[in-house]
Amino acid sequence: MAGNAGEVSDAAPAPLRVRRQPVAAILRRTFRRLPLHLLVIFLALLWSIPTLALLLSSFREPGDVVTSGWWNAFTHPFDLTLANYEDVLTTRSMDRAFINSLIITIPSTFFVVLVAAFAAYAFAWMQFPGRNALFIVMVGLLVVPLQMTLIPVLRLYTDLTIDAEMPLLGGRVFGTSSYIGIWMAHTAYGLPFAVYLLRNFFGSIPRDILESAYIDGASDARIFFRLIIPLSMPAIAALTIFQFLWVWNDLLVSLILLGDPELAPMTLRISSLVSSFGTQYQLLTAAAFISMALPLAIFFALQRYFVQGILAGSVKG
Amino acid sequence: MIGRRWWTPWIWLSPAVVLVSVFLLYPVLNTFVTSFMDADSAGGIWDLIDDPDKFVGLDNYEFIIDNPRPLVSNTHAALYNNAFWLIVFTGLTVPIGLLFAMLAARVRYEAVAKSTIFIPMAISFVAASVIWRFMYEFNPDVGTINALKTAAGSDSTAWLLDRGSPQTPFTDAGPDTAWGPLQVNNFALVMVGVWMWAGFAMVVLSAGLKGISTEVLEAARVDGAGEWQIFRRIILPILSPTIVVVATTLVIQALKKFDLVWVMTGGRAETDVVATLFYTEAFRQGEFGRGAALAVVLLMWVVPIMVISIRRFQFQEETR
Amino acid sequence: MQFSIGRPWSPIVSILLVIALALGIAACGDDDDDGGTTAPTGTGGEPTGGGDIGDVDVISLWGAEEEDNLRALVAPWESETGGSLSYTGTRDDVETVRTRVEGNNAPDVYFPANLGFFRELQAEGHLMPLSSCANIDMAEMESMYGASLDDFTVDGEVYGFLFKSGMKGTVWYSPPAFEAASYEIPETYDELIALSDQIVSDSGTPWSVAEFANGGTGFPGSDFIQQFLIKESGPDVYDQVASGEIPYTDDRVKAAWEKYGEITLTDGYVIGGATQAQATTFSEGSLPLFDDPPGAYMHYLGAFNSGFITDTALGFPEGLVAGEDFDFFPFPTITDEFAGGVTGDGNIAIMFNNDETTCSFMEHVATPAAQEIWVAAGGFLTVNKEVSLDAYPTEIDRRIAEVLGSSDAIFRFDLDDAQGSAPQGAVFEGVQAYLSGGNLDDILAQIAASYE
Repeated sequence: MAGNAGEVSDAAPAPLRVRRQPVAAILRRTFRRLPLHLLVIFLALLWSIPTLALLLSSFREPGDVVTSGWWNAFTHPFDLTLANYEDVLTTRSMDRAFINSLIITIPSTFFVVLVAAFAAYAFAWMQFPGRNALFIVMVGLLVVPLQMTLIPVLRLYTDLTIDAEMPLLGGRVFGTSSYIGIWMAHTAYGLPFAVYLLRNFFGSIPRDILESAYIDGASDARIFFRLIIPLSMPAIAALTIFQFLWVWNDLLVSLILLGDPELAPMTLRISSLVSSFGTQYQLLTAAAFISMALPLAIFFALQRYFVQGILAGSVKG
Repeated sequence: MIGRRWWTPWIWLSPAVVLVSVFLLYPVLNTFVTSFMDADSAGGIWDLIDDPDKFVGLDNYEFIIDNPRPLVSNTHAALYNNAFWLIVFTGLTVPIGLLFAMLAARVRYEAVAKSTIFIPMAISFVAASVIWRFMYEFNPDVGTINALKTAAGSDSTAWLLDRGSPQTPFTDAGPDTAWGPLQVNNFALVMVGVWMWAGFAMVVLSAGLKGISTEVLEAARVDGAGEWQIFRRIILPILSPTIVVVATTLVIQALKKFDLVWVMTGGRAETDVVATLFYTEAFRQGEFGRGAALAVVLLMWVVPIMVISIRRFQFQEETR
Repeated sequence: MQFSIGRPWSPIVSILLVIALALGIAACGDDDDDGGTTAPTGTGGEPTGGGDIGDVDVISLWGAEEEDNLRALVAPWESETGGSLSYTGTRDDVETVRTRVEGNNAPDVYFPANLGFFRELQAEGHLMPLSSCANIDMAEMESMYGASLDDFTVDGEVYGFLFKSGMKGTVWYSPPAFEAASYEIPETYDELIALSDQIVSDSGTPWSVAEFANGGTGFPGSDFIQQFLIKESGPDVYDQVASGEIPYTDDRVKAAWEKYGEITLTDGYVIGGATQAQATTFSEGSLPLFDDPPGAYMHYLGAFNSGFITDTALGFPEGLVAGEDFDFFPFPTITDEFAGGVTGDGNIAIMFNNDETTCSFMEHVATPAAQEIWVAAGGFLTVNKEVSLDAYPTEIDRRIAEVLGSSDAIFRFDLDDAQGSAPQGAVFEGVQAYLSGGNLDDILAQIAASYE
């Protein structure tokens, strides 16, 4: 690639991939890139084996799953069944649990991104006394195991419970068994990582871009919404995915802070598919895919933000 | 920068500061106080105000150092395993994530290739424990790795129990050396962690890579730089703050590793890490003082990491 | 301004809006459902308990069918009183309840399996005695639950009762396999060892041992050892070991461990040897009994094993009939005097408050009529003397219930559940260490240390 003389002349403005090339060059290129393809495919396959095992197992009879390996699904393709999915979807109001998961996850994700971006902007582009100390404390709290916070937070929530019905969503207005309560908790728990990540990306924006905006008289709010956020979309997309995933897959915080099982998210319902002896865990195979579907869809939806050169384009403009 | 009022930064910071103070900082301070108190001190500061006799000085820290109940609360093994996680987990996850972010960016099926690495991140721990049951199961008819192993003519390994060589921990060496330096089961657990978190490293590093201007890369190629040189001279320096962010996050993840160990082994067979031991002590056994002391040990680890990381940021500010 | 590059976040906003909209619609739809389900209880129910019956917040470790059965058991109460069961099932029940209790947010009712945890909660003053409920007749409780209430009585006050019990004196085998080889059911420990040797000399494998249970790995071994202890040294020694009066390093404890070792560590006794024994999941331990030829002839596990053997999802052959294709024999006698010794576990019903709803719920779940619902569904044993033996669905369940209820039974609560969490964890880990070839004296010393 690098030493390809034919590419030099038309290299500068156009992106690498859309250039027209003679057939021979394409062939040569493909051949030279063969090891690359093999490596990518090898790693991708290696990483997919466990997931593939889970996927195939989710379509097998529970009895088969325990007595023979998942690879037997290839040799007996007619023994496959949708029964596991049926069981999961029809057990104990999984539909309501799915909605609950959304109610919990979406605001929690949105608030984390917003609140962390505000803070990260201040950390990255404002001078104030105690900045480093505050940053160290805030990000250092990333190491706190959530279990450590549960009793103090639960005591607080019990004391501050507002025992009135929350309109539309259900549960209490605040305290235990309250969506507002769990949004706040998840937002707080997500902040150390979010601030850390965004501070890094905001901080890497070249100084002259922001400075010219200040000179033009733009306010902080304008700079934040018009420059910082658009320029950091890859990082914000990454953060959105992770935060969504972590909250979506959370079991512990919901178990403790959402006392009312009516409000319980999918993770709780799924874990109750298993008996106290741990049997019937085969249902978890199907449950895992059902609960994975939405986060994966979001991952794909956000792919478009991982595009080359957003930053580069804006510098030039 | 210019013409801001002194309180402007605090307006931007206040939501984050308030939330973090209530939900994280206050519990941390409470835990710190609890670590000097007796078992039944879940209330921390408030319990101490009610009953000053609950203060026990450094007893809980002595417990961690002396390790008097190695069979059920092996504090030494937990500390050692944390260090093991920190090195092996971070040491494998960052390079794999970086490698894949770099490689995938060069192929047209980037999104598909990347999603294969990302999928494990989307799997809940409950599901992950089921998946890895299919991998690590002792019965070679079911366990993938043991199926390969027995097909190659060796014996099955109990991946989650095998402490490695020597297999007999309670021999002449005495109980304190019971845990082996390199336990097979710890490797097995760390591999699950790497499998799950490589997608994290890849996504964040990928976002960083996308921030590198195509022109810079093209210009270097025009100048005849090789791929390796481009990586060393251009990509790595630009990416290094992001690599630091990823590595720091993973180090902290390794330190507070809990779910995975909890669902797969429950800390049995000397796979306990500090976070699982903290949880078992405080919540299963009701030893809140001891649990808190373990948690404080965990918090101490983070100080050097944050210092390194803040230096990195200062450097970024000077050079941007 | 030239540095503005549009609004690339607008697609995210639109995705979120779409989801939010879907959510709103679904939430409205759900409200209608709720209205539909609550209507009948409002109109049809003639509350007998006074009309103040609301939600009862219940925690236990039951999931899957167990949860369904609990709901079925509670359903008559719901329709009778207008109350409603708000149930959380989690296998980390101890941790969850401890967090909620310490967070001043205790549930109403909890069914712990762990006697040690019950004692802790009681000692810390979190529990209400049953007599504090005006509607619970203690004389009636006494007549239903008899001596089993002693474990939950402190200073003359009863703080709970054994809601669901288990029995752990069962060795499982396949009658057809025993018949084919003309083996006799052993009645004493010596006969058990003689039979094991006989099977080995017939080039078979006598035992299947399965200890793996993730965080609970080693618990079947612990149960096994308790059987030896109570059958050899009797209930008094057993109680004193549980309370720590007899140190765990005592010779009588060691003898129990050595008998466990005699079965699990003798060459050729255990299918796959000690490594496989540790790595095999406990619920799949009986699988080799049904191989042809049998991979093993005997498997020790508590009474709940009958639920596994009839579960084809665990890989057991279809259509195994209790009492014909599989059966248990009572744990063999070691010392004649203690022949009736049997251990069992169970779920204790305890309450954290005594409001009207909780009291009414507790009264209901203690009744034979309620319990027979779950008994009939299977997997539920009770010490309640008023539950008819005819309610049990299989002959095996009936026999197990008979053993539990018989007058010669010397019943004791599972030793590791009674010991408290730290010794329990140490015993589980000790079982693994022992199977890995550890020195027994060291292991026992370390278990003793975990009592403090």
